[in-house]
Amino acid sequence: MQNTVLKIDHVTHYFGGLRAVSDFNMELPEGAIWGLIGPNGAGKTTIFNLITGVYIPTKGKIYFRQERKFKKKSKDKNEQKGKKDSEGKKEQKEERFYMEDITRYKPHTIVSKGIARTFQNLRIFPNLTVLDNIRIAEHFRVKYGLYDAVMRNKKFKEEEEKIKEEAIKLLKLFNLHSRTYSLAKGLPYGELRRLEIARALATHPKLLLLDEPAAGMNPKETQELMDMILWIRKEFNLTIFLIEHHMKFVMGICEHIKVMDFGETIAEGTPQEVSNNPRVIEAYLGRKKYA
Amino acid sequence: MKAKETVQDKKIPLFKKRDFQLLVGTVIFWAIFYTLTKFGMMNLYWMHIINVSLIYVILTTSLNLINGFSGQFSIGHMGFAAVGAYTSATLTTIVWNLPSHGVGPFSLFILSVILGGIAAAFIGFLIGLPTLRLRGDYLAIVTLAFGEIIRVVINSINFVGGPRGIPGIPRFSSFTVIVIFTFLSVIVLRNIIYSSIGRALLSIREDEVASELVGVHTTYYKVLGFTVGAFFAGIGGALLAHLIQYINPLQFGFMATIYVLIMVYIGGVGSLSGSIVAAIGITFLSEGLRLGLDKLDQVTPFHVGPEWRMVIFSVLLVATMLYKTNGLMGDMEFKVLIPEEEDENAKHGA
Repeated sequence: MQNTVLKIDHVTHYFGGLRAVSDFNMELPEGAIWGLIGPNGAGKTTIFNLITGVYIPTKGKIYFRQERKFKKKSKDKNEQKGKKDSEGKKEQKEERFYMEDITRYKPHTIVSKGIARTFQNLRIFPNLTVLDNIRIAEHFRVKYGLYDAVMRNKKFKEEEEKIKEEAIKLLKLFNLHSRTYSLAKGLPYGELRRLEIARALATHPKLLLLDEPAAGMNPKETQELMDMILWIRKEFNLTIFLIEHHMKFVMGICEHIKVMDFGETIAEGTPQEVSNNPRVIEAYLGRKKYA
Repeated sequence: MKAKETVQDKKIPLFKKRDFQLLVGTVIFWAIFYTLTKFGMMNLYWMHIINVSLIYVILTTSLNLINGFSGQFSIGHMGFAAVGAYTSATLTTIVWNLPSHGVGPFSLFILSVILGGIAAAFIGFLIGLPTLRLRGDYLAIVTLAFGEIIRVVINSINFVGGPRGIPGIPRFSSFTVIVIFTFLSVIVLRNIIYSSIGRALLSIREDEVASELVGVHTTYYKVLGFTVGAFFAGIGGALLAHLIQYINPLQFGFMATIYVLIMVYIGGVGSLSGSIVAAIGITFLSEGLRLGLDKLDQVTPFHVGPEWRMVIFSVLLVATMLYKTNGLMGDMEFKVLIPEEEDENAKHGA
């Protein structure tokens, strides 16, 4: 049985009087690649913003699976079980994990819980080097404080070496090693896309949200990106949830697709099912009128 | 595996060459001017200007941490300097009533400077907590307002002299003291900037939303940067009080902040070296112009008093913004101010 990593429970979100997302439900299984598609303005990016804490949903809850840190061994297992039940969640097979309500968490807290994302229109730090872009994402794992930084003591140096080493390793994996010390704004578009994904991975996520990763890419680059995403999932042991307009891409890579239109989920299922769904075709191409 | 090897190859020695160079440079600078004054070969007036310019280095670099590195637009910096100046001057002059010589009073003076910094940092923290949620222009207006509030509050406290200020402050800020404090301030700020904390601040400047979404607690770091900046402003203010021996609330008005702000922007936003160069350069330019314009007034029939300095500064600022948008240094640093381990990563100027 597969475990649910992310559970979105009846989430509705309003912008003033506009209902951007209505009654969105999802249970994302571990290790899966799911896609979210829909015409422009359907509310896809809003879903991402709700998951990552940029917006707080008007209604509904979002849960994310966490590994329980055992401080007192097995003594209060039943207690924890009781807590889990009281929060009204499903019984889990492994008791090591529990679903944490992340609905009202701040974005940086959610990142530290293990959800990382990329952006529709790249949000790289342009005037910083590629290395710094990665090191900033490693930032919340750094264990030294202001005092250590001011004194530049041993702890500081060890931590700095550690994160630099990790960053360079990551850059090598993404073939950005030769760019380590160049300013991010000087990089070509394809490399920026890779850098953004690498930066997201530097936060050590369990769930990766990709917002239109193939935007502005030619067919060859798109194919490479597909291979890369599959490789990332294997290499980093991730669950991936992505938004994309590129049909070939979504159909080729996703195991399960959700289709949104005007904030509503109009269809979901395997790529095959979705592509034959009349409501989906209608949303994308309009009603058959003149044919 | 490979990455591990390369990092270990470049193991940084405990005794760092560049810090040593910086220290030696500072000592030489100190020794030259110290001996010159000792043997009476240095005009005391210009010695005073050197002291003032070094204090401006502290004020400018600390404002640069807020405005340049973390990208928040604060224009209430002199308010914090006022808190530092008044705290330490009140302690040394009114509370302890120290004589200006002796070892005991001197150590109390050092304590008062540090307390001045802490008081300024505390006020900075209190102001930063609610206001740093604001961005850009709004933050500027609020910091301006708070800077003025600090001044007006001091103005109305009779214990510290109200609008009359505190006269007769013992002259503890000797050249040596100021050099040491300036050196330490610059080193501490540099160490903060070239650390994970500094990178967090830079990321906030670059893109606050993205920064939050890669796990930087942006509010925390903005407040931290603001507090550290305020701390050094307080130190600068305290040193200034014990140098010019008289403080009043008007010295810490809005125009004084603008003066420091001009130094930050002409020197280069996000460059410690730029701030150092601009703080020293502009202080000297200002004094040079004062004398020059006075001379000009005497020899020509036109009335060109020293008050025209501000006009010249404005023109200078406009020219800088037009022709060198990022200031003299841009975001480059002198090589000596970059820690060795960051060398490849950082940009360095001349």
